[in-house]
Amino acid sequence: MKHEPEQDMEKYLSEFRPRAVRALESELANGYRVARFDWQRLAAAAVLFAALGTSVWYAQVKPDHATQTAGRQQVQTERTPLKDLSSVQLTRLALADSEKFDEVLAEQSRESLPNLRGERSTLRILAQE
Amino acid sequence: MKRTAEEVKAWYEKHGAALAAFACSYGLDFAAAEDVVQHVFLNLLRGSAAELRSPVAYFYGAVRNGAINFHRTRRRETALPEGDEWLVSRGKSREEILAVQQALQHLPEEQREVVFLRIWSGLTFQEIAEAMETPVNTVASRFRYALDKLRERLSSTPTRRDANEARA
Repeated sequence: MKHEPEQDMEKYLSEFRPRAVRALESELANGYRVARFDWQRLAAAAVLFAALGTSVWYAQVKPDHATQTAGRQQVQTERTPLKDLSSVQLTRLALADSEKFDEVLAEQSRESLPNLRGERSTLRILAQE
Repeated sequence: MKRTAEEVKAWYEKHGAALAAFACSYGLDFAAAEDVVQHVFLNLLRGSAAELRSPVAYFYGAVRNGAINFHRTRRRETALPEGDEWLVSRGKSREEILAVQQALQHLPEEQREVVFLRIWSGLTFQEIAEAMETPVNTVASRFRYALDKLRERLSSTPTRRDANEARA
């Protein structure tokens, strides 16, 4: 059994109460904000991943596109008479198909350079003189 | 083990104020004491606390450690910040409230903890004994010694002195 002074002191202390603390809700809400923030980061990462994927895909597709363009140019050069090709077309042809380019050069050289083998060729006339 | 938000919130509402006052008795200002208590309960929510055999004992132990760590990290003196009230009472003067706070601060740790558990967390001696893993008789003795010291220290407080004289 407690002594009276003890009971008295206990009762006296009970007249005091601890000061109220701020609610835990705000801290919990912070926790939810953290969770939402994580979702945002995840979404941002997904967007970044998609952008990177698109870049890689585009980088893989682009060479095919270049090949197709070169093919189209080749078709275009095939349609044009070889002797009428411009210097730009010749350059493109040289890059796309070196054998064809050699063929074109040989054909053009037969028309533009002097013929040394014909009956009236310059070399034969000089030899007769 | 992760606790549900409702369970932690219920514990916080029941013991949060007493725990903050307990942290203040280690010399923390009230805002810092609130932070320490919130940290303890948020750790529970995050599941970083181990399985609790006695939640109340865990709270008091964690808050005590938190208060001590706070002093270590901030390198503050353990003296109570002047004028910071962490107890309230209707009809009591500010002077009297501060006197009770200081008297509680001067108690040895184990006696102070028993007083907080008994008076402001509402535990029985048996529950305190289980929480502190201490024999019931020891708990009762600590409480009795604590009350003696408080009475002795507060006897010079005007209101207490008047009450004592009136009773005599």
